[in-house]
Amino acid sequence: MAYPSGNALYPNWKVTAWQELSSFKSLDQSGVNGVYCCLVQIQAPNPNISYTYSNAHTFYTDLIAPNSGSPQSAIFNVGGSPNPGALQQQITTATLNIVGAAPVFDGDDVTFLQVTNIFAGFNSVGALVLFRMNAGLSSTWRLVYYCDTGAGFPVLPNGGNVTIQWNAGGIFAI
Amino acid sequence: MAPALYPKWKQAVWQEAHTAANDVSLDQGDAAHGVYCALVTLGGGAGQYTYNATHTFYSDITSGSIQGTPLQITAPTVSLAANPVAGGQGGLFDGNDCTFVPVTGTAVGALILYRHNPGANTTWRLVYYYDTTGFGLPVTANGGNVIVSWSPSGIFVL
Repeated sequence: MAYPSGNALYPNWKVTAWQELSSFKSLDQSGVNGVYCCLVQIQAPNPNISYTYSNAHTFYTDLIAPNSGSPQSAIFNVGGSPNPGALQQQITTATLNIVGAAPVFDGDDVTFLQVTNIFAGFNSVGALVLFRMNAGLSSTWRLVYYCDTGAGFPVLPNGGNVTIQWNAGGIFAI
Repeated sequence: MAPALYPKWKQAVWQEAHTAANDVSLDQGDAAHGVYCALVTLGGGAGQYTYNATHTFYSDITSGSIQGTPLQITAPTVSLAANPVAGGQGGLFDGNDCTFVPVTGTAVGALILYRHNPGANTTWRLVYYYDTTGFGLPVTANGGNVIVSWSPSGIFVL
């Protein structure tokens, strides 16, 4: 996917929905089984701290930056409460309602508090990634949606808050 | 109309209550849980079906509009493939062709695919509707066989 790439549902997530044995794919749960959002760095000069979308990506651990020593080195850190140190925020009040002829996923806006980059140097939020969490390992958290197009991108975090305000029509349609 | 995936089915595959009930998957090959194809007569009268985006279950198909006996799509597969409409990649559903033997009744104007389960037909989810003219539709049932030959590219992609 070349940049600017646009927004995409991860294909492996769509396929999963039709497979009997694949679990942890629903979008209407909360808490540990909810849908979460993280801020990622793309197109950084240093590939060790940069994520590049791929149709083949399936799980949270695929957000790895190539050749980096950290699985999530491209993800921004959230410094403030209620989850200091967390890399993601839940999309609360998640709904999946039919609008017209398509199910639309929607939820509350998300505010990341006191966003910093855990790595020095290039420091720009270029994309959002939504994933379906579960109580197991992050290698089982399914990637759902990639978004690098929208008003406000890129964001240069300075330790302040970053608020993600979804489109009034919803986050994405299927 | 253009072929359509029933919106209620698309919604159900991402709702916990339905995925946990195991009644939405497309990759099951056994007769009880397979995907079936029905031939239907179109129209607004008795014994005729008209697509509606709110239709959800097999029981939403107008009584008497199904011609012959629905057939299971054997060897179902779910895989990744290019999506020629939306771009990028999507999930592709494919399976073996269906031969309906013999078919009598009135003209067949559309195909409806649905997901069977061992319960009542009020729980069999409608998946896909296809009524594009040409490529053999509509077809008049005359007591002979009706062969549904899917595109080499697959049945549908989302």
